[in-house]
Formats: sequence, C-alpha cells, structure tokens
Amino acid sequence: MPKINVKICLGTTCYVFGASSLLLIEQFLDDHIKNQIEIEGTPCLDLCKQENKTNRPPFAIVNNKIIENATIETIIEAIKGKLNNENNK
Amino acid sequence: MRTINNATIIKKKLLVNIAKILFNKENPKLLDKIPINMIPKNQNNIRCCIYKDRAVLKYRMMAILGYNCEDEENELKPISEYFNEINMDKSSDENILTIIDVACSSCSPSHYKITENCKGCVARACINSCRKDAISIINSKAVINYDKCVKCGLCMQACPYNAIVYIPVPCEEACPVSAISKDKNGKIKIDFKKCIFCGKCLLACPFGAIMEKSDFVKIINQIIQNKNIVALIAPSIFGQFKATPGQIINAIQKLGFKKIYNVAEGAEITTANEAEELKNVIQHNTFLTNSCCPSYVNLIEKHIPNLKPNLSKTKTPMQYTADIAKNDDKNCITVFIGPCIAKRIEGGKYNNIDYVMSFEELGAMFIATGIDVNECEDISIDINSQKYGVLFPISGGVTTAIKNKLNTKDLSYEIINGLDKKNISLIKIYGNGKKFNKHFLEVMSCKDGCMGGPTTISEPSIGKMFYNKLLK
Repeated sequence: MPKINVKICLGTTCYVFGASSLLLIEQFLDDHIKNQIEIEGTPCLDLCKQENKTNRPPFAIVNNKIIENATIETIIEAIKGKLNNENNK
Repeated sequence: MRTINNATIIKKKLLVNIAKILFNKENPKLLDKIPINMIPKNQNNIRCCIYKDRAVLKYRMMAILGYNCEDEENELKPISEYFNEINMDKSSDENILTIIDVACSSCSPSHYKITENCKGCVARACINSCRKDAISIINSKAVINYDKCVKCGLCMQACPYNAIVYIPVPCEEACPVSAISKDKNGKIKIDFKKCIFCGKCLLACPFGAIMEKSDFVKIINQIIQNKNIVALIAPSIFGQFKATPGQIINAIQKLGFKKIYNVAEGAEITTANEAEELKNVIQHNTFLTNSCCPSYVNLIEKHIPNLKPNLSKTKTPMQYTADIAKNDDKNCITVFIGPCIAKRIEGGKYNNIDYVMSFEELGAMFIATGIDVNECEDISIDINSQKYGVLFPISGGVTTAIKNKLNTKDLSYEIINGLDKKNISLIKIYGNGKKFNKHFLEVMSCKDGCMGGPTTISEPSIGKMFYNKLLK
C-alpha cells in the first residue's frame, strides 16, 4: 500500500500563522500510523493566494485533501480518514 | 509545546491588514474598515456579538498604532484619525503594555469549585482532606466556605470523582512577579512598578486583553518614505523561518531596510567585556550575573536590588550593535527586530535605538508585501563568524560563550532557564546574602532563552532545532 503523503506548507504566510508547531505532529502519532505515512514540509503551495481561501493559513495537504486552519488534530483526523478508506477497499 | 492561541492569530491578521494598506499607500480611511472586513455581518461572533468583536479589534489597532487603549478620549474617533495624528517619536514610556478593558473577561479571583459531578458520597474524602474545616455537605453536595478556604487544593486531589476543579486567573497566574491585580470592577491592572515586561501575561490571557504598544506603523511609515532605516536583527531570527540565514537577510533588505546588522556582532563585544569583568570578580571571590536579558535586569532593579552590585556593567548586544550602526552613519534610523517585549523598554531608554519591533511584526510585513522568505535568493552569509555571539539566543549560550572566551574549564556557574515564581524566590535567596558559591549566574527570563521569547514565530522547540543545525 502506498504511503499517505502529508504536506505541511512552510511558506512565509503559513509559517507566520503557526505552521511550525505542525512539524511536531509525529510526537502525537501512534507507531502503526507513523509507518503508513510520509510527512514533508514544502515551500509555499500558493493556497494562501487563492481568492476563496484567503486568511485561513496554515495549510496542509493529506494526499489530495486540503486542510485549512490546520492544527495537529485536524491533520491527524484527515490521516485517519484516509487510512479507514484504504482499509475498506 | 506552545498551543495555538486564536487571540494571537487575530493580532497577526490585524498586523497584516494594516501593513497592506500602508505599504500599498492606500487611503488611511480604509483602516476604519478593517474590523468590519474581519468580522463581517454573517459571520459567527466570538464574543457576545459581532459589534463587540469589532470594538475589540479597534482597540487592538490602537495599540498597534502605538497608543494606549486606556487613552481613548472619544469613542467615535475613528482609527484613521489616530493614524493621522501619530507622533513618529519612539515610545519611551514605561507602560508598554496596554489593557483592552472591554476584552478583559473580568475573571473571578482564582478559586476551587465543586462541580455538579459531586455525588455527596459516603467517603467524604474532601471533608477529610480539608485542614481548615472549609467544606460541608449541604443538600447532599459538598460546598466550600470561601471565608475559610486557603486554596491548598488538597480536596481536589482527594475527590474520587474529580468533582473539584481549580479555576485560575490565567494572566495573574502567568505573572511571575505578582504585578497584575484587579480593580473594583474585576478588570485587570498592571502595576508598572512591579512589571518586568516578560510578556508571559500576553501569551496567557485567553481573551487577548493585553497588548504591547507597538512601533509597527511608525516603522512602516519610515520605510515607505524611503528613509535611511537599518535593521538590527537578534540572532534568534535564524530560527524563525524555514529558510537560510542568507534568504532571511535578503527578505529584510527587500522590505526596504538599507542595511542589516546581526546583533551577534554586538554580542561579541558583550562576551569580551563580560569575560573581563568576570576575571576581576573571580579574584574578589564574588559572582557576576548577566545583563543581556532586559526582563531579568528589570527583575533585579525592581525586586532584588541586593543583586545590583553583581549585575554585569557590560552593555547588551543590542546596545553595542546600535552603537556600531550609529557610528557607521549617525543619521541612520535603527530598528531592533527581536522576540522580546522588554527590549521595547530597553530600546526606549537607549539613545542609539530608534524603534523596536517583534518577529511577529516582521512576519506580518513580509506577508503584506508578498515577500516569501523561502523564495528569496540566498546571500552567502556565515553566522558562525561571530563565534561567541552566535551562542546567545539559547539558554546556556551566554555562559558557553564566556567560558570559551576565557578558555577555561574552571568557571563554575548556574543557569536559570526561564523565570517563574519558584526560580525568582531562588534568585532572591542569592540576593539576600546567602552566598552564591559559583562565579557566574546566567538567567534568561524566557524558557529556552530568546528562542522562547513571547513574540517568536517558530514554536520554540522547532526554532531551537533549526538554529542548532546552523551552528558549527
């Protein structure tokens, strides 16, 4: 099974609005989840520049799902959602 | 880990929105619209209604413009008028923290409370644990007699149903020097005779009712008038963005700063002079304590005057760096950029510092001008060329720098990483004649040192990790 990809935007806008604390996410993950995902910090994903999405940084992307106002909790929720989908296939 | 505080996020959004209008040289009247744009009609209110939310934003803007919220003369006076009347002088008064009266929730004094989880059980562990006979059972529920209660918390620990909770006053609790009290309406007051400007209350208040009075708008005004403005950057800046030191410096230049000085340069001089002082001190069998942390210096001056003779006479890195900048060009306008609130007071008193701003405010300027630090070209710069100064931003670094400078292993020292009530009582003991039998006492007001400052952008542990990777 391909790993679930978690992108955390570290562009300046997201970073100023708290993206750095999202980098601590691994501390909050169980080992069996950690083995099924890959986490990467990325340069600006340009999500802050889209009209309808302004003002809601920090952004993260779990596979294709965009998370705005991202917190460690909402990212973990999205990861678990993806994992459940995979298991139900 | 520092949790995300929506009050801080709102402040950052305000900074960005104000900076956008000013950098784009738009009509200042647009400033009046910011609260309405940020809290539009159809949005869910945070407080009782959107109108109160907007009113609080207006007061926050007053602080960002450099006014005391308490000084509002006329509620009808719009922000744009305050903007037009801005006095460009640096703020040099002592009340750099300002309170938004309407934002303060008037928390009731801290107390223990018996919740509805109380089952009125047979064990009566609460009554048995209480040494002041303050708990009785009325209508099958435990009740605290607050005239007798001494807030020891034993009942809370004893209750098998977790039915007793402690309700704190977050700002008072966070203040390590008991400078916060309440007026007769329950609103908070800061006693500036006691306040050491550590900034802990700012982060602690869940209502964001305490604001720092800022030079933000004044600095933007100088930039857009293309003045000869130079940045003195605290070295902890290199842990604040996911970018290289060269990219960060380049980004600050793009913003409009003509020249950039790394305050680590001044820290080289601080290290050398403090090391010299220390040699002397060791001979006289006494001890020295650092002068670079302004909040700690305030603590000594206001609360532990007995320690004054032990306080290093050496200037802070910011002051030496400002001297260098003014020496290079006496007409330049110096802006210290750092993680610290107490530096605003120190800068206000020091002639060669013109303005002080925070990392948060720098970040907001980047966002407003569309500068992505990560996408800036990397200028080659080696932060390790200031081999002592580079160590200053993280707790313990000052001691290491001085130790390296003296080239000795025999220096005995103690490091206090972050001020709280407990640490302060310890330092008071050192000041009260109980001989501190080491050579050097390093104290940083913030946990982790400047990297844990109240206005950092990076979560402190991440900032520290980024910075340590840069060190040789």
